[in-house]
Amino acid sequence: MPDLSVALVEARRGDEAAFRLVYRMVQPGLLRYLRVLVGDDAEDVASEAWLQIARDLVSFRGDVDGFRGWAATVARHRALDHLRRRARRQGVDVPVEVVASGLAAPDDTPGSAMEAISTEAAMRLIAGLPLDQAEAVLLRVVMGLDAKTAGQVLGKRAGAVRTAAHRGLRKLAEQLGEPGFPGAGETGGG
Amino acid sequence: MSAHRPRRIGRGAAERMLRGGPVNAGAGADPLADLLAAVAAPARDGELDGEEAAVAAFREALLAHVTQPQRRPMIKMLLARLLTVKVAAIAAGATVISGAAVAASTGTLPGVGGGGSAAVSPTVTASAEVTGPSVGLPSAEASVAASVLALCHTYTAAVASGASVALDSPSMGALVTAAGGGDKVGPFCVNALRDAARATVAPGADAGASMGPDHAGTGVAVEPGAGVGVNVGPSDAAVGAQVPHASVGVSAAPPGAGAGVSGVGVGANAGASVRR
Repeated sequence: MPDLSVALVEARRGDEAAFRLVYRMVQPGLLRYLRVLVGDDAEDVASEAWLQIARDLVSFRGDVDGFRGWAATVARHRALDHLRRRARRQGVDVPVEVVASGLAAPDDTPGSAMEAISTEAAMRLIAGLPLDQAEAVLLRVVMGLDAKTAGQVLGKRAGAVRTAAHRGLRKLAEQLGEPGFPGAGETGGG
Repeated sequence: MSAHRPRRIGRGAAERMLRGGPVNAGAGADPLADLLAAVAAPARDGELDGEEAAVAAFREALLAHVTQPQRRPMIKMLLARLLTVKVAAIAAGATVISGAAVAASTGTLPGVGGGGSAAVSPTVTASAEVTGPSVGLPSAEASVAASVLALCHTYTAAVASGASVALDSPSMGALVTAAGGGDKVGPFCVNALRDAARATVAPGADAGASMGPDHAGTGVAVEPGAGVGVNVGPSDAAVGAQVPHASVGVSAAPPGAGAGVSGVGVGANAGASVRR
């Protein structure tokens, strides 16, 4: 597994190969995170996000965690811009969250007993969560952010992100046939 | 499907899952852990399709970073310094080359004072004062690497167009190293480009390097008989020199500093003025 922190330093020095490594390590998570925000437009929005990341990487100051958080923030902003544009085009005036959750809603929900769950199916399940929970889970699991950084991306406190993520996990567990776990409604922990 | 018993997941376990850590020993026995592992799985087909576009943006950003239009005032200062030094260097060179011309203006060379130019002025001492700073500058060798010269061209072109030059960018590293420091890049490039022009100009040929009018311009013309001409555009500083045979001309536009000398034939006249 290539070291993202090393690649990041070298990419900031202008090393193209290192930038490719950074892209390959971050893009899958970014794309999957965007999927719950903008659905099928995730690829386009990810491209927009990478344009900005590539442009501003040289002036980025921070470590790997900071970079992941920054990338997620950039992607999220591009996604919200995208949703606003789309909402305007469609002449509807609805909150971004509604647009996002509506568009990203799963078209089918896998049954409870799954043997080897595919990334696709897993994504659909998570996209079916309330948006704040889906975002919290994905920022933590696929973008690798800690609760604090995820909170910065979402403009929330770390505790709120933990709560949302725990609730999301409980819901997922229910859908998977598990009873869930206690404490999902409380803040703190971890 | 293995029969998994309903179980309770504590906050600690949830946090471990969210961090992607192992949840329990029986891998595959926990659907939720499987699900989280699945969403965090490595890239699938198509997920990295945007790589080339991203890399292209990265390349573009690197180039743009070298000449991003910011911090213009600072660059103007740098430019002013750069040109002051240029004036000094040229003045010094002119003094050496055109001993005859200077001599003419100071009256020690008889019979040629005046000529056709009214710009005769005995202020050569002013340029001599300006000459001071040029001492100790890194003198560019004629053997400056072509790549460094190219960077100098990029640098001066960027400065001339009013863009700032990010000397700390990787691509400018070689130039900064060659110059011996970021603050010496300007003078270094002046010298390097001038020397390069000298070195490559054959007798009877003309070489010119010029920058945009508004900020700085450099024109170098070398004619048979070891003439040197340098011209810098008006608004910041200007130096013009022409040396048919033994005379040196240096001229500068108002807001900057400069010296004006024109001569035809053997050291006809010399004039220099410095206004700042």
